[in-house]
Amino acid sequence: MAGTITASFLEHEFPGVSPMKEEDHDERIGIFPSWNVLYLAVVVYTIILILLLYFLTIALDYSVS
Amino acid sequence: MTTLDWFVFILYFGGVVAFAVFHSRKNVGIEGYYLANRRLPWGAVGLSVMATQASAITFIGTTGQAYDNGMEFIQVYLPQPLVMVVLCFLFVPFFYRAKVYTAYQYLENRFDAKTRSLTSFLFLLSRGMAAGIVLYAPAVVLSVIMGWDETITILIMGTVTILYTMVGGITAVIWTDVLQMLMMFAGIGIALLILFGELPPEVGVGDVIYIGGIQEMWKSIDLSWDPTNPYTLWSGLIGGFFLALAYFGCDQSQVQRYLTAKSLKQSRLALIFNAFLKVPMQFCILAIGVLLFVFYHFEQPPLIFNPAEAALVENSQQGDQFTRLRSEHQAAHTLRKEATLGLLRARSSGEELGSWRNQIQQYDQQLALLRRESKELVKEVRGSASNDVNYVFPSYLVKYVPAGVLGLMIAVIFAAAMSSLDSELTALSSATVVDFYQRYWRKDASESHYLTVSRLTTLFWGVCASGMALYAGQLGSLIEAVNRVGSYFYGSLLGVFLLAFLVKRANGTGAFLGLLGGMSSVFLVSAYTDIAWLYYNVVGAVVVVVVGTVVSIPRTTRI
Repeated sequence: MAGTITASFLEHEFPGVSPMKEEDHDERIGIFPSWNVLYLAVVVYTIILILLLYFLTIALDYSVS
Repeated sequence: MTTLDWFVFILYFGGVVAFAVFHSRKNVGIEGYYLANRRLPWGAVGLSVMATQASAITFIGTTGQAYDNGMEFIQVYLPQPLVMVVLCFLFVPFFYRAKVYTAYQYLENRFDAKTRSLTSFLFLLSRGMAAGIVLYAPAVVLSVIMGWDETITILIMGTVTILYTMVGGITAVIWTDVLQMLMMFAGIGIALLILFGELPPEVGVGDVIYIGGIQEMWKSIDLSWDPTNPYTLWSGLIGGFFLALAYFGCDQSQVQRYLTAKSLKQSRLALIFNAFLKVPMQFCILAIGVLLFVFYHFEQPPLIFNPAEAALVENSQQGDQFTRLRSEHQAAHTLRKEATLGLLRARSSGEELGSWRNQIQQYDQQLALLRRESKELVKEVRGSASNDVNYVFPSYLVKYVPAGVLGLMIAVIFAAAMSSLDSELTALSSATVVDFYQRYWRKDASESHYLTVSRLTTLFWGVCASGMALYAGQLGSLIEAVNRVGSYFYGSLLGVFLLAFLVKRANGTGAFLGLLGGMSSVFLVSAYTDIAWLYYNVVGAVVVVVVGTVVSIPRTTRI
């Protein structure tokens, strides 16, 4: 389903360039059922990184303010 | 360096050359030379993408930056995982399906020849000049710290890199990048371990974290909204996103890497690999700088780490002032060391820490102020800003690391420089041959002819980079200008590709005029506003897309 959305979004037909295909986004990648789920995992990972670094910023601030 | 250091160092060079020769045996034809016949595995491509980005100055400059300012630089890298997703989702499928050799070749398929030629020319202009800096910057640091001759250092790095790149093409480059990147990982790990080992025995991991925290060195996220400051979360996420997207999506030195993968899936996996690893790696490099900051609570740090800059100021009219700053610096360090040891005793006995923290913070600030004042003196005497941050880590290596490890760490600095230069040489060569020579001069020559021309072009760009590196010292502030050139073009180049991928009605004239408009806007913004350089890429990309879209509206539908 997610793959269909991606494919339709990128359905270009420009001269000299092959159009996108649904299978480009819809194959299984290891434990991830599709590329879009893997991309979502990367986005979640980035958010976790930012939150973790923010936690470090707060928790490891021993300055005398 | 000791005999053991030289042995390790020479082993590195021997290993790189042997590795390059071994992996270049199947190198036949132009597709083999520039794209490894599109048969490389994602792991090798992923490590090569990482090695290309991590230059020697990334390795030694960011550690020095963390020594002075803590972890705040990490914010520039935070959007990179998201950038990898956009690349996988949008950029890579287009490049891969178009079966192109260069990113700019795609633009002729999509728009026209003039857009392809202008973007490729801009790439050659900015990368061609920057290639010299990749060699010059580490060479000058090593010459000052190690006492090596700058010319010989540049020639050794340049010659070895040119030879294996010229003979082995992209296959040799990617496999040596793998070796060099693994060395960099090892170097980062060893540096962290040695730094911990060099601390006094009573200092534990918790103490290191605590001492760093007193001066807010672990501060990684700044939520303030200040567009003139590049080191805030918002500047990092917005400006850093556009910068990384431009670099990974439009710079041939990166695009060429993921075009060598066996399949579209393998190209994407190489980028996803970077998405997960890049930020933790950069965190570790910056942590080396913070550890150095803590280490110098127990050892006297130099006021200025670059001995050449220190000698220059000492022998100038400001010499007395510099000597006074150095005495104050030594005195403040002695007091800070006593306070730090007092803090450690109080921590172990569970006493109140407030007064110790207060004292240490005051001395930290005093030492930072003295360092800033001494850098101002350097600027006054030399006429250009001090680049002392690049000397913090190498200066530590020479003085404190054990025999054998110094050789390895110097080899890591060489590896970082060479793994960036080799990628730039293959990228410059491919853009020159494919986008200009093959496109305009010889369209139907034999494979062997193109292969010979490709090798000669690699040699040409290698000689240009080495020549520029040899004379870079005499170029003065021009070096800074060269470094800024990329930031003027990058956002606009990105805009052209976004226009190609996302605006279906966009045409060649729109893209060409949009590109000119984007670059002009960036020049105006840099000249008349104070916004941080990270935002130049946003301005360039947005203006290109807007101008390109408007110009591309068919005349009949315009009012």
